[in-house]
Amino acid sequence: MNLYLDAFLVILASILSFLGCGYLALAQQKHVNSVFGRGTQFTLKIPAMLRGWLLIAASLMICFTWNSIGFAFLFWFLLLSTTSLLITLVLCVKPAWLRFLFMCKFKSII
Amino acid sequence: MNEKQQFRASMRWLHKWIGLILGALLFTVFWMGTLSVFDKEIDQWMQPEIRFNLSSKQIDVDSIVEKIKAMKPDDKLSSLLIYLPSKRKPYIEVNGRFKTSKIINERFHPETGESLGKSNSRAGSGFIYPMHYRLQGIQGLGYWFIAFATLFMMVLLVTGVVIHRKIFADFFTFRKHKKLPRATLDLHNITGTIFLPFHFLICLSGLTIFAGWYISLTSSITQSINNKDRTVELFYAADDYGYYKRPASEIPAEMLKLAPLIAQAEKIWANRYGENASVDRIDVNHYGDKNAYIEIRRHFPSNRTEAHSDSINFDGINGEILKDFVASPIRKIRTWLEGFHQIQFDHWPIRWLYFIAGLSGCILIATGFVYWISNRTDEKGHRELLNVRLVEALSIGSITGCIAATASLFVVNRLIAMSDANFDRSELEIKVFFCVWLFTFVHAVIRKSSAWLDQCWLIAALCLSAVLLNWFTTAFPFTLTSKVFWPVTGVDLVLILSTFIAIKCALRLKQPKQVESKEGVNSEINAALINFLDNTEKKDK
Repeated sequence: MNLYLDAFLVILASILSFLGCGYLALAQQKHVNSVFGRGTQFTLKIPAMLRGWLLIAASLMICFTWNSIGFAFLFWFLLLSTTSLLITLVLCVKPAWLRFLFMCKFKSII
Repeated sequence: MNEKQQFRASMRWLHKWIGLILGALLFTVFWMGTLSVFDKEIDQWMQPEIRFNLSSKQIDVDSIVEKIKAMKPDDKLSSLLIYLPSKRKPYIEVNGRFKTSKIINERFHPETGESLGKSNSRAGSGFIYPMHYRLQGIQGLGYWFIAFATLFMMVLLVTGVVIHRKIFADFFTFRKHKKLPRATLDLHNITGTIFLPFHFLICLSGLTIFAGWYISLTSSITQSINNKDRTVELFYAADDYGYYKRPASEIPAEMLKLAPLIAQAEKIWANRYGENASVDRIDVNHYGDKNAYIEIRRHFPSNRTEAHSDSINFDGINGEILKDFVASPIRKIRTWLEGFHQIQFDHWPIRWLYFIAGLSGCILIATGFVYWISNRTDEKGHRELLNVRLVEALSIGSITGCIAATASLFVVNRLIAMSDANFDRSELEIKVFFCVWLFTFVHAVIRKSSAWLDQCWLIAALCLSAVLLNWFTTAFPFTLTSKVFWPVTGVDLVLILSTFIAIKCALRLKQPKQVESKEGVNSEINAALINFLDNTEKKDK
């Protein structure tokens, strides 16, 4: 595999893992409050928690296509920790950046 | 207090005391370990003579052996240890032992075979990496200190999990606008929980690497007590690492060439594992003797996590295979753990993620200290108790002090390169490192909490000086005419980033203390407003 394809797959796996962690965070009401404002509630067909785990699983699949099994698990496991940290920092510094994750109907109880 | 609360309180006590006693040592180990992720790149930064890429055209190993023999024509070569080049370490390194003379340690260019001369710096793999696993100066004891600290780091992780009641609820929570103890504790919890599996595995694998060393020492102790043979130690070496040994016969004989043996070993491994395998270490024993044997080893495979799993011993005279070592299934768990810790494989994204995970460990330890201190500081920022001041001085010296001392190592390396004086430069670098480190402790005692700010400025100044001195003494990396040499440029970029972070920290520390930031206050006002609206709505109904 060439370098560009490798780089593309690394970026893709990172994005999927980042989005997955973002949904896992937004499965908690207190983080939804910090992103959209207090009292916001969502009605999603696929719950945020499930979306999160599906995206994280997809990220692992991408890692498998590009690495050996050992490297894939190691890379994914470290990537998951790093993207979780990144999501925590985004939630702390610029929570509004995560609004794009719920680009769908939401109702506010306010 | 019920039983559960009592257990948690006792775990909190244990966590606090282990952290206070071993925190400084643990920070040093984590910091040096994090830098060791890029030890070969630091080598190339500190030793400009090895700043070249690995070429596909390589000189014959046997011609290197001839060069070593020619260095001492009057003496007889007895053994050789050859490290073949790799992508991250692009030169050939040879240790030659002679019958009467001193050991020769030489580095050769893999393409031309020219000697690269003696290194003027111990750099990353000669100083930073050994500091990570055995400290400096107290070599035998260093292993034990670090083993002890690593074991207790695992205890810290377990007790930390017990103390932290809301692991899942607070998983993505960092309330930086809250008061210092809360914000610091959040950061401590985040780095601790998010990277918990990594930290636990890195400690466990670190202990596993030196398990052999601890066993050999304990067996030596039992041997001295019981006056028995070294059965345990020899069994361990032979069974776990595939070591082979036989005595010299003192009968001279013609040695085989090394190149065909290397090719044969690579072919055997390629057939066994169905992948490209390259030799990285050759150990020639009893050179020129009838009982000569050559150990060919694949210490760190580039394409798999496992390390130290393959070695073949050949007869040095007739090429017969004396021992073809294949790790047992149990041993393979250890080879994986060792490879996981030592990350000598060729995988850049994983290498960077290790660096981030290592830094998270440093933040974990540093925030542990800061939390303890800030919890014992009054509203005006006073720390009256002597023990708080002592711990603060210890933490400043071991956190910002250790970072500043490392930055000074880079600066002094480039300053020495500018002078032509004839003295042992590598030793001077280390002396400067320890002097700066000692100075930071003294400074922390004198300046108290202001030392955090001063040392942040010191780190910023040293990191920036190191980059500028490197550009001045070697070459500016971003020129249109030449190709960027990424290992060195990468170190430069990390140093520049460190400068910015240190300046940002210093500016933040300089600001007058704010209990709640504007954002925090706003959110509280919003919350109050929402509550008010809710209550009014309920009353209306």
